[in-house]
Amino acid sequence: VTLVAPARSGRTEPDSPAPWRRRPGTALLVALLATVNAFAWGLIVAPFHVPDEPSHAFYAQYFGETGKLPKASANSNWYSPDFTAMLSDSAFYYVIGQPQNRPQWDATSARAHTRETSTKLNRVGVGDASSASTNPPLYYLPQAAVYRAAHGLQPLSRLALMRVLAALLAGLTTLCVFAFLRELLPGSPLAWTVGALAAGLQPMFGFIASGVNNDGGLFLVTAALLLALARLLRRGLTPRRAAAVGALLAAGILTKTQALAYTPAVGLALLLAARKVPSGRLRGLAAAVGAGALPLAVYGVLGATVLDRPLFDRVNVVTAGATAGARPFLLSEQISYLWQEYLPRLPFMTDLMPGVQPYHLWFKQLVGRFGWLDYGYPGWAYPLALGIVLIVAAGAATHLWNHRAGLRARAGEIAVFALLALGLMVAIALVSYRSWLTGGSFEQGRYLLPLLPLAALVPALAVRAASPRFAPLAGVGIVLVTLSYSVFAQLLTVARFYG
Amino acid sequence: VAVLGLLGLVVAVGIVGSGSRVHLQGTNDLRPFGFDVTIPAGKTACQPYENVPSGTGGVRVRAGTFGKPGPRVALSLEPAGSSPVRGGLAPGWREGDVTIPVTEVQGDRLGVRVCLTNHGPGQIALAGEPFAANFAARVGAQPEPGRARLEYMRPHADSWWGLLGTLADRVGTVRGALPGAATLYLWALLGLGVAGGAVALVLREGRE
Repeated sequence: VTLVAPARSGRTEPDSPAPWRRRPGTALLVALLATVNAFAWGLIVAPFHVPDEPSHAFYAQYFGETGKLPKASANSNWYSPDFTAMLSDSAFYYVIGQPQNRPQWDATSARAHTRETSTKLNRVGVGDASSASTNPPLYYLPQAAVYRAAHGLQPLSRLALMRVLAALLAGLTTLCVFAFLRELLPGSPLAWTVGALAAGLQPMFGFIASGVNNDGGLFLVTAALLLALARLLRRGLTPRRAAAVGALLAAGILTKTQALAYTPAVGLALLLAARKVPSGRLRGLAAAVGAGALPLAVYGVLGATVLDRPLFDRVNVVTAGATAGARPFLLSEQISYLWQEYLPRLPFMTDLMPGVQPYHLWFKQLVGRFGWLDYGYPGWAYPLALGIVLIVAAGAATHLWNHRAGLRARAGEIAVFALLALGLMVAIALVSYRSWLTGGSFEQGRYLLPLLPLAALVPALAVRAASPRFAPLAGVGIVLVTLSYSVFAQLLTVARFYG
Repeated sequence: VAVLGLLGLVVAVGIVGSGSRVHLQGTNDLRPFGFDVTIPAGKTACQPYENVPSGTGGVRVRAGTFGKPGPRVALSLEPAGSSPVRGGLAPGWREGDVTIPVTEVQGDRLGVRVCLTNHGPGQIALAGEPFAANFAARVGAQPEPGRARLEYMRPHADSWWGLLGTLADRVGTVRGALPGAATLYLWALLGLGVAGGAVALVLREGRE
């Protein structure tokens, strides 16, 4: 909230012209719309059909019940008896990945839903939250609080309340996107509104953010971190701004270890900001390091004493040696894999993955592949989306070209944001390659969703490129297209689970 | 333009929702992984332990006829302790996803034995999943490699609008939380609010 709140009047800040200070109402309305949108998604997506939702919801349940963090068990004895009964009652394992099957919607299964409270099944199990077991706890802390508050309710009512919290995080994320755009494009309220709405109503964002999944936490922390970085680079290094950056990086790492990939970008931003400040440089950098290190140190001590957890869990996925039966790790192949993950394969490269990943994996799945990747739009909707995105991107590129002289002054910012995006992309490719070596498949389009604030710059710049007369028209067009994709994705969701 | 755009979106939703088809009433949750049940001409395959939902008016199967026109088939749903529900198909149907109409089932029926008789000529293969012999479908006394996927269909085609009440009940049951059967209507209301609010907000910012 401190980050997104406009500066108090009377305090002069560089690069913060007066008009945007009158926009807190718009920012809150945009956030409200994104919250309501994610909440609406959460009403119709069948329970646990946001990817990995059972693991994340059980993590919160176990944390709420015991105060301990889950641990992977040797025999994959996932979840607890009550949780397993709930999944079984809804035929969960028959429905995920099987678009022709439906959750149980008859009266018999409705009665089964009440079984947990009537028979008092065990809610703890052995503490194995499946794929979420090794996640850090920050996202689950408030979710566990919701679980505790709703302890006496039916299991699905508890999940519904956890989804309300998830929707609130989606709203906060969108608020940060709005503030981020406001920081980068001063004087363009329409552009901030359109960019933030395009992000907050984006169908995949609405779908993922509607469920219990620590991706929702990462979306928020990443958006807040990008905002904090923008403020640091635009307004200059102060202990407070530097501390915000450090604390948000730590919060990201404590939400999803993947956020470690943001560290180089944060380091670069601090160095660039420090270079411009003649004095107080050390105080600023110390504030950043302190604010980042303190929560990690506390978690590290708790992990070593009470929680029995390493500070950086999951890192072993990347650093571990080859497992039995796996292909050997080759650096040249890893580099080739990284390239092909995001760019079309070059003629001299061995074909390591099917199709053209930038389109078939990232673009299509970011436009919309829902459920446990088991339903999406009809085939024609994706090339149509590509055409629309290219038109909007061309508008944004035109604006950048026309203002290329000003871009040079922003080279530092651009480098920081590019490094942050690159860090995340490399982190995904490193894990993907390790998974590929063992015959698995890791990558999903949603893993790039934390970069949504950067993507929101594209529609915002496109609106800015239009003449004052046509800018509202362009803005309405972009928002209507986003809404159309969102509405039809939700109709597909109703048909998928209940039709 | 904004109003026209919003109206266009509403009209598009209206048109999509008015499309009519025969909807699912339930399934036995099996997946059509392979053709695990084969019924020779003149034989009957029976599959026990089926739960048939109330309002079923047909059973859809994925049936192969080895390229030939489908033979006459008879279907019976045999609940324990009550009279069977019958249906069938005249010869000449084409292989693929085939719905065999039956008399509409009144009330949920649990533990039903579903039997399909192939009156020939030619054999039929039904898609499903492999199962242990004690749960597999049987032709006579002989267990087949698995069970067939059965989809219980509504007796007639409905538009999505016509199905609205049923959809609302289903959403309420599956969600298992407040506001129950009103969930779908709340969702629609919120969706309208988001769409209208987003466009109104852009217009407001565009005017200033």
